[in-house]
Amino acid sequence: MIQLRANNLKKYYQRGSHLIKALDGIDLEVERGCFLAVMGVSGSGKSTLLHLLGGLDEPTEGRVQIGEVLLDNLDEEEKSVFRRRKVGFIFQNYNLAPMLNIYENIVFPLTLDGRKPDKELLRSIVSFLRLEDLMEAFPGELSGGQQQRAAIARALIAKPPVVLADEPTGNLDTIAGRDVMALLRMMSKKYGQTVVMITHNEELAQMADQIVRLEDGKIVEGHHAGK
Amino acid sequence: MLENNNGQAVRQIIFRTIRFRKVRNTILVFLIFCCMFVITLLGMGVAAEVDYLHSILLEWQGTDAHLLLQGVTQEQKERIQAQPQVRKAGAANVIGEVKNPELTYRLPKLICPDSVFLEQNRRGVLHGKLPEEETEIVLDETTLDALGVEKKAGETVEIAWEREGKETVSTFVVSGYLEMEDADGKNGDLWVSAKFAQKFPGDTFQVQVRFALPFGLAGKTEELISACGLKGAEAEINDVERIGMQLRNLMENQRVLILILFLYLAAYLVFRSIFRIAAVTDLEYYGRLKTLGMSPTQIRQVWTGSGMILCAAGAVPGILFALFGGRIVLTHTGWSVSLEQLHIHVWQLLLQTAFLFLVVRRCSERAADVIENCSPMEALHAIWWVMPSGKYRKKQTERKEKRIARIRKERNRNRRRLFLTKMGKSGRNLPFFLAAESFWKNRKWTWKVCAALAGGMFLILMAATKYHSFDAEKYLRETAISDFVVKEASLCGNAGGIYNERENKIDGKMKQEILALYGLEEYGAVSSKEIPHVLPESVREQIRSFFAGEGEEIFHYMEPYTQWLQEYEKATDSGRCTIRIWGIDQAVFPMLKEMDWILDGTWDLEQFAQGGYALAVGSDIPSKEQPNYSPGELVEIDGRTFEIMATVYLPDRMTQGGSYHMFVPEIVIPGTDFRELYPETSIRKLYFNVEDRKEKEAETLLKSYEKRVGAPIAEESSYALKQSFREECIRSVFPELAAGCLLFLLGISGYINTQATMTLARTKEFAIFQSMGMSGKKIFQMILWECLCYVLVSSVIAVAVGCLYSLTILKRSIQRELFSTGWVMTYRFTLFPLPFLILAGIVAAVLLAVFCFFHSEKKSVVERIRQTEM
Repeated sequence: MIQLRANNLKKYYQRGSHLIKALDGIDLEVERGCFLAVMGVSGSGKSTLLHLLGGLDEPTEGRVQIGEVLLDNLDEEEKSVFRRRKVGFIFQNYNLAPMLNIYENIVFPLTLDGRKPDKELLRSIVSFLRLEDLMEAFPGELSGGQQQRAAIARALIAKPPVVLADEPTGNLDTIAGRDVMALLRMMSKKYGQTVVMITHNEELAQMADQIVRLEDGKIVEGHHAGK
Repeated sequence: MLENNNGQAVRQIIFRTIRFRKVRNTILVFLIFCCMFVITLLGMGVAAEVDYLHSILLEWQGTDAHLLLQGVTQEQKERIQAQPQVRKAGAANVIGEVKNPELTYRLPKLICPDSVFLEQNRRGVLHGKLPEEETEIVLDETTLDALGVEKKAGETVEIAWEREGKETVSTFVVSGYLEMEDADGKNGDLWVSAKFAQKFPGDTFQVQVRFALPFGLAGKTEELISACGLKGAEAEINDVERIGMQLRNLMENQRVLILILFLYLAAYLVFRSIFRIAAVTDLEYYGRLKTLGMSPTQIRQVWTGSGMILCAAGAVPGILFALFGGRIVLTHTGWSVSLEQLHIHVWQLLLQTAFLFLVVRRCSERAADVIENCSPMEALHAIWWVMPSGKYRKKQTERKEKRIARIRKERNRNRRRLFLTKMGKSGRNLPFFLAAESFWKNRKWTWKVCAALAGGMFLILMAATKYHSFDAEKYLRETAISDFVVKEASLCGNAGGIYNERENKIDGKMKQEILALYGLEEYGAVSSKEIPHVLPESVREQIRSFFAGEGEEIFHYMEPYTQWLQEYEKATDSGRCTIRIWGIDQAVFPMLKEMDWILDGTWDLEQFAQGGYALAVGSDIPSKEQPNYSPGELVEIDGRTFEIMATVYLPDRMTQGGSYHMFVPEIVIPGTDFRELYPETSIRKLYFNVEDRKEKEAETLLKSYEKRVGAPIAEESSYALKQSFREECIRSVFPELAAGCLLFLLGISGYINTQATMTLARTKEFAIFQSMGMSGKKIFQMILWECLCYVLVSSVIAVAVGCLYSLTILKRSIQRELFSTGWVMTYRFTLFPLPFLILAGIVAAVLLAVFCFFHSEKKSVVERIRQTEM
């Protein structure tokens, strides 16, 4: 079953007299439970693709569908609700709320919805990411790696069907990076989550089910990983 | 539509954001506190003045009923009381008409009022008790004074009264008396007990009706008259309770009301700027929340919730401070009400507060709009001083496209930065040029702050010019006829009182002491008496012609006053009216030499003093045709004939003091003739001049006499006038000064907020400069120049606009006496407060620059370059 679909996705920016084509016609289908790695050089459009897939930005042309829902058909209010329930984001620069402590940051998507976190899931994610002693701390008090782990926990706590990760292991050491990858894979298998991850690391990309490469806003290569 | 909007997350973000942005929120709360404080103060002043005026008028009228009916029968009374539109109807049984000659000018009646009638009474505070026994009576203090009876219960008084053509004299015991506070009432009715009234069963009542609302009184009166068959009854609508009169009272304070509205507008502009800057500085933070799924509704709730909490935190203390502490400020700024009279109505307070909450709410909603108009990614990547280019390209309007074109042009112009750095290549001028460029680049934010600062400076400068233009010499020339004036005690008090011809406080000992004053240069007395008169047809025609022509405006102004209209119509139809005869001593006339007081005819003092001549008093409209006798006509006064020599205008300060009649033509005869005609009438005012070196002695004499008499009889003396003039000047400029100070404060606070936010947000930029070799000293100079730019630009705007306005509009307004106080002003330009305001601004700028610099220097260059957190 196709969980994530993009049709002829384009995103153009006007900078002065230049038209920058961040994405220039992307067609993509990702199955439910699939782990997709997106690779490409700097400026190839990877982050832009991720933002469009998650409804954080609007395409110049094209459509994005998650499950049965076409993002085009949702207004801003509905997109916000959809995002908090159906999409988990992991940003390269964490984007934690500075005035909430780590625990509050992690459960924030659930708080927005008025839901309580699954205690068992929370305990296991926090334990896996070694955040038990940091729950009362504020983001400003933590290192980059600790913040990244908190951001990952936040993205997973609501068990979203789709997880979009932009260089989730960029600030982590090798071992921690592998652990995070393992967590993502485990969540993907256990809860049938579809994961789309941007990475520059070939080794980590090989752990994915599929790899696509972008160049100048287009998919130039797409194949099954490790095969 | 998916379900949304959990409140817990919203509350969490509200309280965390308020704590996180302590400095900014403290400034905002302080500004709201100041706004509410000043607005409440001004509101209190207005409420107190309006209510005070209303209470004086009510006291004069004697009742708060809407409609006064005379000659009502028992049956009609019962019908009135049963009418559904009548909320209250008090009735008084009319026993008879009082005939004591001392009281006839008020036409009082002997009445027995019921409890509802007594509830509607506004004639004054009752000292003693209501009449219960047959021989008990309640009168007001004016009546007691007129009858020469001491003001205390237990005194006996003889009342001559007439009923059905039969005159009787009855002796009563005063059980109580009504004390008027500030105004002698026109209603002089005497109250008797029910036991006394039972002896004279009758069918004539006075009824006072109060409707549910004070609107459409004329229509309601007509309906009542036709519903109850009141054709024979006299109906008079209480002018004081007409909504038009109450609005007129309110409009006496229109200047202050306009200022209050202006303050709300200024507060809106400044708060909007603060909230908008807050939204844009926190844009990246809200971008994060949006990526997590916080909906636009929830973000809006965060902003409006924060706004309401901050507004409450500032508004409540502001109100409390104004109610309890600020009242003292008002009494020292020349408002004519006392500390006890200062109050504010609950509905007024609620309205003011609700309006401020509305303003803050609107500003916070506008801030939420800023965030709503960006996509989450635009918000995340926003450089805060460059607004995101719009929500989505496809939604841009023509206006936004123009803005984008302007931004492109701006970026092209930024290439001049190279040129600017070349200009400062030695490094000396670089901080100034960078600061100037940053100031210009951020002008979208800064113009509002500069406008508030400049606006505040402008108002303060205008208030100072106005105050400086008050001319005490001119005032004294216009108000003081002589060095000292002693007036009859019945004319004292705030409302001027109604002259009591039988009072003789000035005669006797007082006069002897004045005449014995060493250094007395000249003196003269003024007296007056009101008598019934019949105007000849020629005068009636002239009166009609005046009010149809030159005096039409006066007619329209006075027309709503029913009594004036009735007396005017009676005078012009039948000629019957009351006229006032002035008796003015010869010595007083030269004291009027500064005035242009002859309207028509030729004035010859010596000829006038010989006798046989009179002057007709006209209006303040300089026209030959006046509503009175004309020069050459003959007027008969109590058996003596006088020829009108001239038509004159007597200054208000001489004729001040009310009457029970509203339409009263006036005639002036020599003081000697007056005393021959009316030997019992006492002096109304005594004018006298003393040598300069003897002024102190005269002051002491009058002050000691005031203590003995218990009334401020020497209010119009030069020394008293100078004091009241100063107070009046302060009062006149206080609203502008308060508004100017508040606006300046709003401007300074907005400036601190804007500049601090902008500077602290550019910590990374400064670190980059430093990493490229710019010294800390140069960074500080750049910050300082930026801070000073606001003050200097605002000062230039304020001075330019202020000078232009002052030298053109203000000057012309003063010269043409367009202000109500214009007659005592001589335009004088001043910039006196400007150095202090600029100094305050510079001090704020320097302190701010020091704070921002040292705050940004807390972290090392590397730490600041690496920072991405707020």
